[in-house]
Amino acid sequence: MDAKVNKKNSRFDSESIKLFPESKRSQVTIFIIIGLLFVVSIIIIFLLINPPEVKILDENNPQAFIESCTREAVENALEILSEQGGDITPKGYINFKGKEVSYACYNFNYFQPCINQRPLLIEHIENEITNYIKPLVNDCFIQLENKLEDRYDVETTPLYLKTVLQSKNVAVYIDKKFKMTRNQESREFDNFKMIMAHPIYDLAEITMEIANQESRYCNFDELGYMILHPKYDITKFITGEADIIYTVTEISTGEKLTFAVTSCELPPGY
Amino acid sequence: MSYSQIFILVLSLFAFSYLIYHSFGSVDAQGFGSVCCEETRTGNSCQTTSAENCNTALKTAPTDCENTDFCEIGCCISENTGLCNEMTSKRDCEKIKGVFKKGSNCNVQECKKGCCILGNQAKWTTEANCKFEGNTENKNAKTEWRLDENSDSEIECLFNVEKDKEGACLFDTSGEKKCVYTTLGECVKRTGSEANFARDSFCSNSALNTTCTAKEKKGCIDGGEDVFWFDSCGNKEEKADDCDLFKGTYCKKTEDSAQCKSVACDTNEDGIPDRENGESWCSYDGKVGGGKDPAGSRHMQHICYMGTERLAPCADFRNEICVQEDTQLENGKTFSQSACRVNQWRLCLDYNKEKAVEKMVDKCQKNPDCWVKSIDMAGSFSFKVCLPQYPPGFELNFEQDIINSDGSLNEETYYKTSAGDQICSTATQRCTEIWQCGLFGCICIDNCKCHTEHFTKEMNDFCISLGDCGAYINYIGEYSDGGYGVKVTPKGEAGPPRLSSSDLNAFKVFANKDNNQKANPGNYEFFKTLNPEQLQQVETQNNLSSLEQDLLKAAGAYGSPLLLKILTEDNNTFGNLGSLSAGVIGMSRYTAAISSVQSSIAAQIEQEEPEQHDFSMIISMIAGLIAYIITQSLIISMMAALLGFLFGISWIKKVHIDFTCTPWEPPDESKCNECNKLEVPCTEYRCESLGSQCTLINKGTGNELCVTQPVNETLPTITQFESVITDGYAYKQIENGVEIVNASDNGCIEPYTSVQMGIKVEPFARCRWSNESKDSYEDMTDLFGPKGNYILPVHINKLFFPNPEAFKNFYNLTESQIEEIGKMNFFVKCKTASGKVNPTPYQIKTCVRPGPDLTPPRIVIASPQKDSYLSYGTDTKEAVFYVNEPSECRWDSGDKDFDLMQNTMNCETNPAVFTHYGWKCTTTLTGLQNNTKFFIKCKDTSENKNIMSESFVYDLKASKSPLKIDEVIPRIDEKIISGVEPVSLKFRLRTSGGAEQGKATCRWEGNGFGDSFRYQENSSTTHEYAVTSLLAGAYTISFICEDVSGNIAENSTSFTIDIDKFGPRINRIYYDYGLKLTTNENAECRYSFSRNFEFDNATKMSGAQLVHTAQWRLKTYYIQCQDSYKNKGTIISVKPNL
Repeated sequence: MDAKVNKKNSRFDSESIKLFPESKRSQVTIFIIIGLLFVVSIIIIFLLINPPEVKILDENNPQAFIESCTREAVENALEILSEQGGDITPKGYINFKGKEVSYACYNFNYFQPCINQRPLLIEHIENEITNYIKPLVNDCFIQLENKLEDRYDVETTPLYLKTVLQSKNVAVYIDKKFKMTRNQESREFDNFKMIMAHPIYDLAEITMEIANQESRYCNFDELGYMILHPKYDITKFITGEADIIYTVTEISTGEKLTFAVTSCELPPGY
Repeated sequence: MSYSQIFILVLSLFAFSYLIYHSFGSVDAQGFGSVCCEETRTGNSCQTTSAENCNTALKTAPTDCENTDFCEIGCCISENTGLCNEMTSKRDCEKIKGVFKKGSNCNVQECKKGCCILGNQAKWTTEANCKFEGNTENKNAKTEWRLDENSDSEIECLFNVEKDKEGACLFDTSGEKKCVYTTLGECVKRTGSEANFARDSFCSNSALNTTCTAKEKKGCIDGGEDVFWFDSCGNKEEKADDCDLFKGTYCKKTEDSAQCKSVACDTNEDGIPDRENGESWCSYDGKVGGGKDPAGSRHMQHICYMGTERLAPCADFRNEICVQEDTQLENGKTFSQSACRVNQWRLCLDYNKEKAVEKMVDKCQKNPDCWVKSIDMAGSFSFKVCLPQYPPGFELNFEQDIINSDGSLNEETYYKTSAGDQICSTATQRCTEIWQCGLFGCICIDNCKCHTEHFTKEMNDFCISLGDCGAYINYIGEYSDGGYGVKVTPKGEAGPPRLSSSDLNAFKVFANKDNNQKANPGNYEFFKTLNPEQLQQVETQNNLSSLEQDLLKAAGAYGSPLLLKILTEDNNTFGNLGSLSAGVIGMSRYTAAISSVQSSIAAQIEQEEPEQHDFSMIISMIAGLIAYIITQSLIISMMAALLGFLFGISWIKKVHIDFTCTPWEPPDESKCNECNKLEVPCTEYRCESLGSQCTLINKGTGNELCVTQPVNETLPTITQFESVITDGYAYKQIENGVEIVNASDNGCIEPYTSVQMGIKVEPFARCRWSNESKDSYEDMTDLFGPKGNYILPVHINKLFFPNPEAFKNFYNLTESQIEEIGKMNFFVKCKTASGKVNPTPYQIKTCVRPGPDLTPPRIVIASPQKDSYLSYGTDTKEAVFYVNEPSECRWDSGDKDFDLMQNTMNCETNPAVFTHYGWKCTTTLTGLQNNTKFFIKCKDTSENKNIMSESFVYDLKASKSPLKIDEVIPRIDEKIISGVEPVSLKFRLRTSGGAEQGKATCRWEGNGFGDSFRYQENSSTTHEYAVTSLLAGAYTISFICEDVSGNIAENSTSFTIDIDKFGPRINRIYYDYGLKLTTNENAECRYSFSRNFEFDNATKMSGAQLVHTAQWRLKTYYIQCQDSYKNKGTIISVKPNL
């Protein structure tokens, strides 16, 4: 290849114009530099498009930091819960499209109506979120402490956390004293709170209604429900094993809750 | 009868031998050995299953979960949200800190739903939930929960109940006047004063002096159907366009505006919407109904919703059918409603239990899922049978491990009868043609069509209507004819042909799609029979409002097109929303239906023995006629007729034609990819129906794919299955086969001994056998063992031979003939999934030990069985005994020698007339009032005339008293009053007397309904039936109990149910030295001066009956009254004036 290049450019004086270094090592170095520049530019472009979320700490408002950090944890929890029938770690589930989807109502036996597996689903999801986010929120406080430790003495008390689902939103109440002291000037914070808009309460309520109707009638008429409640979209997928996978979606937000039901299963034959 | 015929007859005995040993199995695959697991290994709570499925760290109990304390099923109520969960275990409820209440349907005051008004929204929910929603962080708004005549259903609540009016709410922010359009409650919450609220006024109203300008743009509101104007501040204003979801338009956002857009569906993609929003309809793979649904087919429901067509497949195996009802609308269009509802095919088979054929036919014809098939073979083989309109599907492969890890046979799995085997076998029937024979030929005198193709066609039709049985097609029109067999005994007699290829090709038409066909939803009468516990709700309530009628047109709002049918028939009936299900079932009690079909047919085709003389007269006349034709001499012909008559030279010949119905076999040519093409999801059943080599991968993932297994061109190789041979016997290798010998002396096997043997086949295959070496696989009519029609690695059979000597007298056989009959040769052919058959049959050789029959006969089974109970007062009883060889039997009340026994039985001694249990003897036992113990002895028909040395002791048990129903609850004239509707209650009965001190099974009938009580094993003298959905009204219920001996007891009750679900109504409010009000019923009334009225925190008014008094204050009173059933009336506000 070198020979070809030299031949092509033979009208140039190879001594005066050293477009291509002669030594192989130099060429390799140039290639590496070009490669590095290419990679760096890709990274820069990527970062410009998707800048990393920088949690800016306002020393006067540590609540905002905690709220943002907690929100992130709750969003993660909700993402898992909504795909897995309201469970962080599903127990009594079916594998569907690569996910473990918990049964909201289940009966092993043929002909028998299902038994509700997740009564008080709203409270169950509250507990699941609480258990999931508690260590993460604790980490949020540790991060906060780390950011402030150069300038402040920080005193804290143990963390108590409560998740409350309400129609259209999720609230997290954090009971933890957080005292910042500098130059004998102290500021104390407690009762942190995070409220975010999310329809998980409403989706869980519909899930309970579906479980109730499946256990009573061995059936849920999704079309009838949607006509009366056009805010929601309900899809039903019946597998070959007669398990039903329901997905309830709030149309305006696109938020979903997927769960499974096995009720009054009919055997092939008797 | 020729020697070869006798030989074949003896051989044919083996055909059913395995049935003798395996025909008593229960069809209930679940029940026995079940325990209640607090939690299963897979994490599901409170399941009744086998012990090995339980999580051993938690509780188990050897009973159904409903009988345990820890898994008691009831209603779980949240104290937090006020929501109720039905059918919840106590364990799960308490774990999540819920309040557990008895009654799985939550028919309690706390779970009663009413209309909750949350500002400008309404929600159908419980009172506690209404409060919870009102008190949540972001609202804290005034809520009102009501349940009265004007808000008695979800539809009325959502569409008719007046919500809080909205208006302009004014407030200042940073010195700027701002406005939001909201309710008074929201406004007070935001601004703290009612004065800031301008009712019925938009924010853009110039009088309000806001910066908002009117009608800046159009938009939609969340979950609302109409298009609204919005002002420049983003506040909702008046309606811009009136969309109507129920008439097919809905608000849709455009780039910077919104408009009413059609939500109808264009299903045929021609650019013109052809289905209305909310419409639903059915599609099918091929023919539906008439017992002709092809194998692998599945009913599909289509739904048009918000402009998109959705597919909702009904349950596989045609366990659900898609029913459709079309309604003509006022504009001339047709509106379709459909539902997947349970295929009631089990009921069809169950109807055959009716002893009276007319009653069976009547029931069958009333059920739209059933049809009556009449089979008439011109004689006694004529019967009617109730069959499914939509035959169910069965599992097409036997996918269980039948070989243990040590290479031995897993007998339990292998002999477990599949549903397909059992149900298809219902059409396995024997037609016996009777021929009267004389010197010049035979005349058929009974069942003369049985040897024609009519028999094969009719029986195959019967067979395929039972389910995936017989010769038929799959849903893409590919046929197979491996699912049936026809056999004639004695061999050599004329028999019916198999179905021709043109007959089979004719089935292909049933795979064509026909958009005009639809499954019949059924009428109200039928609907009532499906679930007596729940359907009563359909019967009451009146007057559909015009809105409700509009909604009704909008498809599934009421849960099922069946309701539309009901409403069409009777416009005065109306059900609660969602209370009606297309899928209600309660059919576990129908598992005994299969045997009932068999017995029903048997009862209808009882064959009488022809009277010899009548027919010999005919024969002699024919003889005379033939003689006249030959000789043209009247005298000779008369002489021939006379001789024929005088010497009775005529005899009866019986020809047995057996039709065997077995599960349908997928075709050899596999077109597996067809399953992946269509819009219907591919399931295991659907995939396997396309061919023997089709298999489904990615099962249960939602990405299922039907693929063809690699074609194996190898011919099947058969070898003996060494680990399966009855003790005392052995395999001995012979050329291209095996000989079964007595292990001790390499000799013959003992007569009347069942010898189990097996073959291995590689590649796995279906196997059949015959006693003819030249028969092709298709010609062989007998399956090799009970699983011969499944592609398996091994097949097992049981050989059972009588002693040929037993037939010596009947057929006048010589010793050498007897010895020859004792030598058995069978030939096995197997067919692999690729359709390959071993060209040379595999031979199984054996012999029955020769010698005189020294074995006395044995009674195999009796009907009624030994120790059966007799009903009270019975003195005579018909009894049937089956003997293992042709014999003569006698009975007596004392144990005597055979010859001294007083009473003879009517026994079948013809070796050709055998049943699955042996040879039949019938008799009538008498004097049962005095004696119930009988001694029976039989003598065989062999040369030795062997007699049973010991009597067969047949003991029956008498009922000492009649059966009685001592107690019925609810009691006669009882009045049940409830504050919730529907009402749950239990019918309770106590029985005594009869055969087993009151143990009985009971059923009830009344108010157009009826059902059986669930059998409770440990306490069947008390009977409970939970009725979960009774409405107000008068009830007259009859109860009928029957015990094991047939004793019947009857009783009845009449009771009324009064429902008081609405709270007290305030009739009048006035001043009478204080604030006074009157209510329409006795009540407790409370008042408060706060808008956020809470009954529990409010001040009690004096008076507990109709008149209630409070202090007179010039403030706004908020008042609510509650009756004795805890029903609360509507909160009213009243402001006294001076």
